[in-house]
Amino acid sequence: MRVCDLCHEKPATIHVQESVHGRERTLHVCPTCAAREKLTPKALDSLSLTEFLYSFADLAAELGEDSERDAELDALECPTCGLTGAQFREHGLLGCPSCYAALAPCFGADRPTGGLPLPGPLAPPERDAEARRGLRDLQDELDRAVEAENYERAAILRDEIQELQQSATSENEVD
Amino acid sequence: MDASSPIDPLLERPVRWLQPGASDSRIAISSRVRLARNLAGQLFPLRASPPLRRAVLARVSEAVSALPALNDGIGIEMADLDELHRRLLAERRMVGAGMVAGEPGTGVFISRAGDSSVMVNHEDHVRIQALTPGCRLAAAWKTARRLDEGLAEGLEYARGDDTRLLTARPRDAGSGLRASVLLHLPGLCLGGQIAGVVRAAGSVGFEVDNLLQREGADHGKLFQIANRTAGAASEEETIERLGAVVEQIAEHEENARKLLLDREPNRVFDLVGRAYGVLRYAYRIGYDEALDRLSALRLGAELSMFSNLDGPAITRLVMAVSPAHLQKRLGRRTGDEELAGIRARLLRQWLRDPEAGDPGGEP
Repeated sequence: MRVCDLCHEKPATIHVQESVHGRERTLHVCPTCAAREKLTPKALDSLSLTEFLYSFADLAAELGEDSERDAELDALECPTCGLTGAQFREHGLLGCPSCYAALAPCFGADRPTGGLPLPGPLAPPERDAEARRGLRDLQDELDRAVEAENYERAAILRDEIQELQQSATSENEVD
Repeated sequence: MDASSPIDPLLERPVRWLQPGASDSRIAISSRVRLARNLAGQLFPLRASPPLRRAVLARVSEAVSALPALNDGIGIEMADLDELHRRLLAERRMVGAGMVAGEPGTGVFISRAGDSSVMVNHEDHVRIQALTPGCRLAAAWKTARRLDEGLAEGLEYARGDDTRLLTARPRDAGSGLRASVLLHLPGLCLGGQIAGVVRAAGSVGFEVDNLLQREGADHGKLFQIANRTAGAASEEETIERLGAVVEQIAEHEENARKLLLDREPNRVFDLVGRAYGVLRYAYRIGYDEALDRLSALRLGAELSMFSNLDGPAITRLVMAVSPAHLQKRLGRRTGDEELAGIRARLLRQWLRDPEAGDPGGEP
């Protein structure tokens, strides 16, 4: 068994894998986190496949999951208590205070997981996409690709869209 | 068998955090505040040997003995209880489910009233928790903080460079706080809106878990909402936000119930009526089915379909029919088949005359 890549607590029972141009990315998540992040098998049956593709890409990028990185994380070891990255990823528990430094990459200490966004009305999160025309064309093409069940093409389009969006936001970013 | 045990005084008293009186306990059943702490310069329980864990238990025990809130309660090493009594404590939420294994050096100190406890060597060296009925997080926080302040006088905790508390689970690091509320959400489940609520709560930093999920079915329609991490916000801030989110979910639940009654009254009445029929007349009933039927019965009671049933009594019944509580009542351990019969008999008796006795009293 291994624990969820997101909460590091519950058993991961959902394993999502994607392959674009021979590069494989895998996520291991628990049902609770999968529901929250729209990675449920239900999403695969319904019309929200586009959304699913996005969720997956976000998470995969965030967690940097690929087999090479996987092995790197597993090999980490705490000099004080000897806990390995592989063991931590089994049960989500640390062995001593030094683990915080030694195994940090396993639980993404640099990832802003600690953030509690300001409370607002409970509304489903919306995607702030389609700000620009070029984006919209790509988005349409993505929708068509999903409809045609051409998922590899869809994944490539999604990544292109995200790149565009990122460049757009970094331009707007005010320090 | 287990004729008597050190935890019997606790079991003889009703479950305080399930007591009625909270007008707000219709949807929010109970609240819990938990604080995780670890002793400085020690391996966390995961990597500590049994002698090291016992040494930690002894140190915590000493600190606990100075606390007025706990020193007239129960203090015990889990290994000194048999498995049934360990399960009883878990069903009463006085210890974590992981403590049922009774590993050496794990222990618990429970207040006399049975509404707060200090767990030792359960993932973290020290886990302080306080429970209240309804959505009363501030009261639970006050109790937990008082225990924490008392213990901190005798114990030094592990901290990072930035003084944040270090915990066995990275997500608890910072304040060690996990605040949660137990919610009964049959309306949102029936209306198919529960997934949306889980997502929406997730987007503001709270996770919603099914309390009694088995094989994908959400038995009892009981959900726990809790802060996902203890890193960024202060304890007060987290508790305030959780309270606000719970209020919104409760409002959604009330609306969902109204909508169901409005659009599909017969669906609701049928669900409740069937539940009453099964609970009142069945001769064997499994735990999962009992939870589902009691959830429907509670929904009916809250929709004023019964004059002599109230929600909190039904919730206490949920605990009374759980496996360890039933076996304690029986006075010995037994299998699911016999338990199903005893459970059904208890439910039949109670529904014949609900006002005759409080099912959540003694086991």
